[in-house]
Amino acid sequence: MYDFAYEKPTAIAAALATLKSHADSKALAGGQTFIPVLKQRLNKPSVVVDLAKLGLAGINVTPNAVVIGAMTTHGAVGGSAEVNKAIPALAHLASMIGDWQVRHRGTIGGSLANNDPSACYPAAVLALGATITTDRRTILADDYFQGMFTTALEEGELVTSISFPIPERAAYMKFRNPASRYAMVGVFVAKLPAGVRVAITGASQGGVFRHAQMERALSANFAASAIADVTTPADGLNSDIHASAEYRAHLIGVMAKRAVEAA
Amino acid sequence: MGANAFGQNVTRREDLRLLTGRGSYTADQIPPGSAHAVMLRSPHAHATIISVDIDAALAVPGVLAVITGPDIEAAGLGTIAAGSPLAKFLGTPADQDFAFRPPHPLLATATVRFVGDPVAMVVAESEVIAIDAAELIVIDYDVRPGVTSTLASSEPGAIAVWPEAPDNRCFRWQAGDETAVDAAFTKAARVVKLDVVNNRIHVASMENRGAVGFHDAASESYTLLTGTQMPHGLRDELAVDIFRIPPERIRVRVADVGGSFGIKNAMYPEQALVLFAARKLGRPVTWIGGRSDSFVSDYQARDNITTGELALDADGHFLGLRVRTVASIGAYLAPKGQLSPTTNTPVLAGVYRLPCIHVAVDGVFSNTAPTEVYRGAGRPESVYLLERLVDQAAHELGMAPWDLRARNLLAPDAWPYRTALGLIYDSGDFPGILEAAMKQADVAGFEARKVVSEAKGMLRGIGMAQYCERVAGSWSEAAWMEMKPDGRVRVMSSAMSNGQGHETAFAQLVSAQLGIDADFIEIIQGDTARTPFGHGTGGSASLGIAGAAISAAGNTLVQKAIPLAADALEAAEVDVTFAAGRFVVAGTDRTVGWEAVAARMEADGLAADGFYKPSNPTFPNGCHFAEVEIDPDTGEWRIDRYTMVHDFGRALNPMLLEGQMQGGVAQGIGQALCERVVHDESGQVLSGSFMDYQIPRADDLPTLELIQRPTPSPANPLGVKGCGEAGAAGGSPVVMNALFDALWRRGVRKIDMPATPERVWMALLR
Ligand SMILES: Cc1cc2nc3c(=O)[nH]c(=O)nc-3n(C[C@H](O)[C@H](O)[C@H](O)COP(=O)(O)OP(=O)(O)OC[C@H]3O[C@@H](n4cnc5c(N)ncnc54)[C@H](O)[C@@H]3O)c2cc1C
Repeated sequence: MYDFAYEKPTAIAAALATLKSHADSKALAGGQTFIPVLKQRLNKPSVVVDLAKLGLAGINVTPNAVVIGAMTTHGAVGGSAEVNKAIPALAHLASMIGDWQVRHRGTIGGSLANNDPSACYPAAVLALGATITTDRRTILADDYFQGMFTTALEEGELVTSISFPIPERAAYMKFRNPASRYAMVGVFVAKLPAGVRVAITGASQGGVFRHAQMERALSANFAASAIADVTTPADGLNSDIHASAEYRAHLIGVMAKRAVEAA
Repeated sequence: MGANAFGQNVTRREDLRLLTGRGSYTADQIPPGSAHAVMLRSPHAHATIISVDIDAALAVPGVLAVITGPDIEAAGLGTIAAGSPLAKFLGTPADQDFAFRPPHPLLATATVRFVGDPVAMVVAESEVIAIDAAELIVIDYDVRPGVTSTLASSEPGAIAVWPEAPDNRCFRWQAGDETAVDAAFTKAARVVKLDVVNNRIHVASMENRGAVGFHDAASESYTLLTGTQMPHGLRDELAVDIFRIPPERIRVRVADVGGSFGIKNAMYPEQALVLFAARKLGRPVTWIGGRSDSFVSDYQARDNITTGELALDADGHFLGLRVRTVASIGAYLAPKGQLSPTTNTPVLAGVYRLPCIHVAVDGVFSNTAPTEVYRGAGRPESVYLLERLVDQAAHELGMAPWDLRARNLLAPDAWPYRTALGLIYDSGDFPGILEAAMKQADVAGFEARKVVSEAKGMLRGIGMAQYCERVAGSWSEAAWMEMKPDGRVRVMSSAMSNGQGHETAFAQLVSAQLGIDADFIEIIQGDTARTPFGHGTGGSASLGIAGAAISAAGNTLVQKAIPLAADALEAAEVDVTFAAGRFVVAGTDRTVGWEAVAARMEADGLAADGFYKPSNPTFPNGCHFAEVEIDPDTGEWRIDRYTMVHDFGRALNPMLLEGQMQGGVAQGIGQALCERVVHDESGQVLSGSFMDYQIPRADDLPTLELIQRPTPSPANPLGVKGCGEAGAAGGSPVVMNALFDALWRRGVRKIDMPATPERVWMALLR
């Protein structure tokens, strides 16, 4: 770790001011991604702005949406009775992230700001067509994810909450990377009034993406058999020591069918 | 007294401290005023060092020294031992020797040979300053192509890791009777052949390596605080190989050790460098490695490519075994680097009547971390090959694996039995173990369980492995015992716990022998100043050898106490015997206890020492069964049942024994399921953190059921056989055999470790 200044403001305005006035300043949420990066000296921030005291944690369920504050931990989402009732697939997803320690520190805002191509939340956000609220605007899921580790967020822009529409049916199926237990392939399917959305995480070099062919087939007939013959080309999928692109392409099909069955 | 009797499940006295964060490891004992060191390592698998510029690093405030290879050479320090003499067994040509034993410097000077090869040590007032300074060292490397794959490095024309070693050959070694094996294969009705990969392992001890060096200028002596299994061996290597001083001038102290499994057995550069730096700076110097250091610079393990061939007659009797292995040595020959693929190959004889065996091993260099011993040290590799080969034979012959084995097992009426590689089996009941294991595993119910699995769309397989190890026979050990007038006993042993529970086991042993409450028994280990010589912990031998030495010391203590007891009993010494913790006048009911002896002692108490040198090794053996379920859609598999029957001789503490089995099996399963070191084309380590290197987690493991079916070992007075490594030997082959059984029915004919979901899926595609 390199030396840096540390601030823990109690108002968003103060946090934004610090982030704006110091080049190379960085926000800190649960630190589950950021602190290992600091420890390995892969990042040299001037100021670290801890978001813990900004009042951004909390869950609010309305008849149409589940709204989750950016600083809400995975553990809180996974363990929330209200989320489990309104969108069980979302609670299930959160409860499968990492391990207990990670879930009790890591946050939804941190996960979405980071947009790791193997992270789980991006699949839920994209499949449910969620809206991301920041300190200055709202961003639709379809506009938010812009490739691995890249989002629509501007320099110094903070995610404050995420609003998930409540689907008719939904499920998340994750094939865990056997070592890290991130998603090697994760498929979130959601049946919404406007149609079915399918988002795939973990698989693509471009990060989370929607599977148009599956969405069309499932919108016509929400059954695993409807996508039995849908194949996913391996081009553009990740290949690493755990899984080739071909294997990931295959797993997308298996996980999608299982998600539809579970929804 | 009964609570500590031989055979009782005494709970571990270490656990309160170790499980509540109160253990004291090397990093917990950094002395005040210590300087801190970090290592700068090669980022390249193979490169020539053109220049090293340390000026900017030295200029950083708080930096005390930057040590590089030329400094070590200039100071006249030696190099780390390159292996030890090659084993000679039946059939090993008398002149068989290493082809090349490369110098293993503390710091690379001209060439780096693996990613992680140490190039410089930076010493500063704090670790952070040292890290800052290390970043400022500029090394100009001329990067050269390297070779990391074991197969590729053994092929003609491969890139040379050492110009002095044509074809990267470190050694070519053989044992057994080649002519007899050739003849057996000529007359065989059937030959079964199997190629296996024994994957390279990163051992991943929970506690990283560390070392604290002290130097006392007045006495010109050194003290090293470090985690090791063998404090005396380390002391001697430091004295003889590195500093060239008498061993008495080096003291090695060991704190709690958070796991070793072999990797903290041999010397590492850092252990010598902190001593050198302490001498140079006149103050203690601490190096505590991080996890990233560990992933690239700990000695690694296994990494063999082996072909096994089994000759059988028309009735399925084994006629001969031929084994050819290419063993990766890594970039340097580590101090015990040749041991696993050579010294422990006699275990290839297994539990069978196998008239002849021939084994030939090529040890080859590659641009990878050196390989060393790891839990079982070559025995698991041999067991893996043999037991997979026997299962392969059963499948090819259309026989049940247990039937083929039953036909070839040695029975107790054969003892003593001389195996084809020269071991003399002295005890055990292999057929009885197989029968008990089949019953425990409910082999008869497998078909019904398979039907249930198949109804869920899953494939199910059953596998077994039966094996016989050879441990606790190769060295001697001493022990020292004292009793003070307050009745307290202190036992000093050269064995060194790395987490196994020596304190508990030795205290129980002494308590059971002398009838003294275990709370009055203190176990001292890990300090060469208190135990002048000894071997240390390794090869499942702590109880069988060090324990036997302690027991001998206990007998001597009793003999020394008899005159005092006789005085208390007002009897003649010759009439006094010792039984069940009391001194007895023979033929009477007059007895006294240790308190009467203690009351009559001089102020310095009684002291006794003991020594034990085994005449024959011990032969722990057992049979494991496993069943696995495979999801054919994804290739994922899990172990559904795991049972084992074992003969470890007499069990001092069955609970500690079971713990050893659980840990060993977990490591064996880990190798089969998921563990592997992976390099890219350029030699970078792709499995350099736990995000990519998978060790098995609790939820990857099944419930492990252990039944003990002991036959006492005649080789030591305690009758014990040693249980530390058996689990690692059984764990890999049994689950791979179960997996292969299921895959075989789907037409798959080859699967290697680690059988990752992707590999299983690909195998099923064909
Ligand atoms: C062992 C392990 C296993 C894991 N397994 C999984 C898994 O299975 N699935 C999964 O999805 N994830 C997994 N993770 C990642 C985990 O979910 C992290 O918590 C998450 O990626 C980052 O969240 P955080 O709150 O820790 O953010 P931090 O690490 O604190 O921050 C991450 C980045 O986001 C920025 N940031 C944080 N909050 C905000 C905000 N509100 N607005 C704008 N920018 C912000 C920070 O500046 C930083 O750049 C795992 C992590 C570990 C260590």
